[in-house]
Amino acid sequence: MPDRKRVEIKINGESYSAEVEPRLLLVDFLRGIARLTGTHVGCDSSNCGACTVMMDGVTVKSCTLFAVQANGREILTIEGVAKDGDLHPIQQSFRDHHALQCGYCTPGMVLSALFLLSKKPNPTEREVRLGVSGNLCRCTGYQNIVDAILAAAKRGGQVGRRPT
Amino acid sequence: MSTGTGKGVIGQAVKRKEDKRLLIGKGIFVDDIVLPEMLFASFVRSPYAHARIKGIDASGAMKLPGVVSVVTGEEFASFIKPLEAHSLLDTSAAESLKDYGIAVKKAIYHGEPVAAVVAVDKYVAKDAIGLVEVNYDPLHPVLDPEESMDDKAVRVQDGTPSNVVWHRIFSYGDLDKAFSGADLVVKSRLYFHRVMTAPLEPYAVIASFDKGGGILTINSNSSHPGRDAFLIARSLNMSPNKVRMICQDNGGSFGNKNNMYPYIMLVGYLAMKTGRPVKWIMERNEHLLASSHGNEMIYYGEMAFKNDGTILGMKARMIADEGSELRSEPRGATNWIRQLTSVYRFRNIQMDINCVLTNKCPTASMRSYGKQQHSFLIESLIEKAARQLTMDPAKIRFKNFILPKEMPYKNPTGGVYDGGDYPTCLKRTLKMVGYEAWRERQRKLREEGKLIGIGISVAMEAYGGNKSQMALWRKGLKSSGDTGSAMIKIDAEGHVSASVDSMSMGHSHETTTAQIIAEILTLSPDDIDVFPGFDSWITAYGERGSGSYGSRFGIVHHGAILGAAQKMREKILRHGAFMLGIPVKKVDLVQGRVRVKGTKKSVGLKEVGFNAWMNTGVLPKNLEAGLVAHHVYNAPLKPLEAPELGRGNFSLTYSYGAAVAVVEIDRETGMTSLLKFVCLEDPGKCINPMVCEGQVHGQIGHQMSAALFERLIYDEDGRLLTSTFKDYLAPTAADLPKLETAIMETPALFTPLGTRGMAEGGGAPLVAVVNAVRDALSPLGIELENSYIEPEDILKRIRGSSHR
Ligand code: FES
Ligand code: FES
Repeated sequence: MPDRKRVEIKINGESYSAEVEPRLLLVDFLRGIARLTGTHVGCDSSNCGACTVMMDGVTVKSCTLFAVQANGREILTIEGVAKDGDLHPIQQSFRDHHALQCGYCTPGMVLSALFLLSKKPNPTEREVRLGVSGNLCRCTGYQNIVDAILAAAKRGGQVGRRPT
Repeated sequence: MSTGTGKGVIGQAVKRKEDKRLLIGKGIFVDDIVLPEMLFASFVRSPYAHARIKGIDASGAMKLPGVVSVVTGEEFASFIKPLEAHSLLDTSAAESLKDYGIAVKKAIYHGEPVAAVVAVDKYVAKDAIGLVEVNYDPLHPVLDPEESMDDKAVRVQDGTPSNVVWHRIFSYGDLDKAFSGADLVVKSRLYFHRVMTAPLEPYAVIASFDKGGGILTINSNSSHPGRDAFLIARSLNMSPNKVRMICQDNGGSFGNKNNMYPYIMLVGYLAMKTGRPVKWIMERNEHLLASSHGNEMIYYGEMAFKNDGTILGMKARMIADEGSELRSEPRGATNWIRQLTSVYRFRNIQMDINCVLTNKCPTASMRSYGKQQHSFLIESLIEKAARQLTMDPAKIRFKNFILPKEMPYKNPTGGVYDGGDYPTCLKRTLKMVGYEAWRERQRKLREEGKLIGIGISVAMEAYGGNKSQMALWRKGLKSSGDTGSAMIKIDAEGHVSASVDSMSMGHSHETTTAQIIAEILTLSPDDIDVFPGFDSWITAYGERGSGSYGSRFGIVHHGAILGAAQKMREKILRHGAFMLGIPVKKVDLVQGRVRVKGTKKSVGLKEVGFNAWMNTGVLPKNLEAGLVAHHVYNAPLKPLEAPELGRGNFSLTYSYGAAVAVVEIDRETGMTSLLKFVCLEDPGKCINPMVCEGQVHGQIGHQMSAALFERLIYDEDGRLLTSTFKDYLAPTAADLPKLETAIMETPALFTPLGTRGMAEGGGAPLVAVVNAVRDALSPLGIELENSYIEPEDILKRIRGSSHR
């Protein structure tokens, strides 16, 4: 077994540091070491997007990165999206449009939606569908998710902002 | 003081109570739970579909630091009794099966567990899996159910007289007359492919054993924890009272998580053996390989018609490929009996049912369990007849619908349809899609050589199952009816809380439960806390029925919640009247306050709660202390009418819906694209229309993609080729079209709130897509008999068509 490595990752503005096996996946660092369990796992082939987080402002699938690859980087997980107990506008829009049922895909979906809107504040329906096509949802048939993102975009402005 | 009046809360699109915690990443799913001293389990799985296990050498794995135990199938079998589910069937073949949930001496499907490893973390457990050496002697796998039926076929399980575990012929009406008097008989060999609902969260279990109290606590994402407790307890030789089942947030089931009890039992044993909590989180490839698949079926179907399109009768031979074990089966292979003739009026039918084992993953419940397969049979035959009679596929359906004035209609098996308006349902759906205009466009585009198809499907989905169905499998079994259980409490400060013996897996039970209670207690849903999830030691007791399957929440649980709320209302009024010093007749409940009718004089829930719990010394003898109301709803269902004939009312409600799909097929690639899709469903009264419509979306998502994308494929050696989301094509948002849906609310006649259950769709979305593809290909003279639309196959057939 190769030596453990010390990594330090800033997650939602807070620093977490630990000695980890080099093979430890980022998602296991988030869930197991930082105990931020909002990031989920739904597959073993990088297909489902349940584990989506942002690394330095860009969405990544945290099951596909090692924790050591995130050393010194900034991660935003679902726990960092709402501020002071208030839902972020994109989260509120998900609630208003019934865009979640079981909620297992939701954290990853919200982060993908946030990233999409940060790049394309006024996406078309097709762009929304493509924008979240790295995230599977097995409950909703996607219709309400697409509607929620389009409605949030229409409300404009603050939606795509990266919470700091 | 309540923030609401309760008036009209039932029927409102109330926003969900569940949402906030899930949106901020604070739901509690099984894998989020960490217990002190917890170990991790992982399973060694068979790479073969069928192989003798000659030996297992765990010494290498045991040497790995961090490995605590390796348990082989044989060791399990020496401690546990085989699971009970099989014994429901009274055939000698079924009774000879032994399901330990793990291979003992031989592996009978690809991915079957062979041994379990327990280690200090999941990485070590997985490393150890690779170090367990299993010596296999591969055997011939039985994969084709029709070959498997042969007496000479290799047996899937040792010691069984036959791979056919059940065979029975059911006849209703006069079949000879129907077929001899027919102008047209259409015949098809139809194949419904193997597919699964693949919820995003696979199976997950944590078992912990308290040696002192002898209590096995299971945290899991099961959708049928009540029954699981009984099965597990029996296999582990303990009282069901000592198995505590806890479930909280659940990443979807759609029938799939009804079937995880074998794994729960195995993990339970690991916890008992190691004396430490054991967590097992199934991975996606294991889930696709070895959770449960949907029913794969072959039908030899025939339907007799008059020239005007009237259906005279149907006969079908069903071969149900059950896979290697009977888990929830033969429920799926007999669920057609609940809705034999669907929404149509014909009465002469024969069903020849054959349940057959093969060396594949066990099949079990899946959204629209056995019912979408049955719709596929009926709707495919009708579609074929319409083409042969050159009748519009909508017209032939209108010709055969049971009409609203015939309600309640008794179908040939004795099923009593609980109201509904099938012609209006189809009419509205056709209007939504713009049917005539699409037909017109289709004519024009066909002239340009385009392959455009319009597919219609109308389907029934019977909900609120009657346990009498089990008496079909085991003669003389005295079982019937169905129950749901709910409990409401009000504390000494007036806080209202409720629990139900259901499992919510995205169904929004917390929200809709609160809506029903709010309406009866004249409160706002915000005033009511609903226990999130299920805990067999805490929530309302519902014996082995507890759980959510077959869309029963909208039936038995609604009945239970309503009953408990009415009992609670009565108690509040009696306590309030006592406090106000007047007869109970003279008070009513307004915004959660007991008020003297026609005056402003009132007492609130807070005072009533305090008096009922904290000032019980003043209560008269005939006034029960405390505010707790429990109700077990007993669905008005009867035992079988005629067991020998397979006759009875097998469901309390008969929901239905229609779907229309418009597709275009690319002649160069064989690819199907959806141009339009609409679906309408009648679930009776909607407690929350937003939730109902969301459920319809989900059901369409599954069934549409079952037709177009999702298929479980075994190769000729019985190896599953689709064991990741790279090859099992769960669709993304970019793959699905805009879904246009609507709800029609014809109240159900026999449920207390007029609700019917919903969200499984009876296969209408799937069949609409298949029928659209059939329609598109009809000018080329191509007939499709499979439920899966395979572009390669279509391309080949387009190229081979003489009408090209
Ligand atoms: S867990 Fe599925 S993509 Fe990461
Ligand atoms: S809400 Fe259940 S997977 Fe998306």
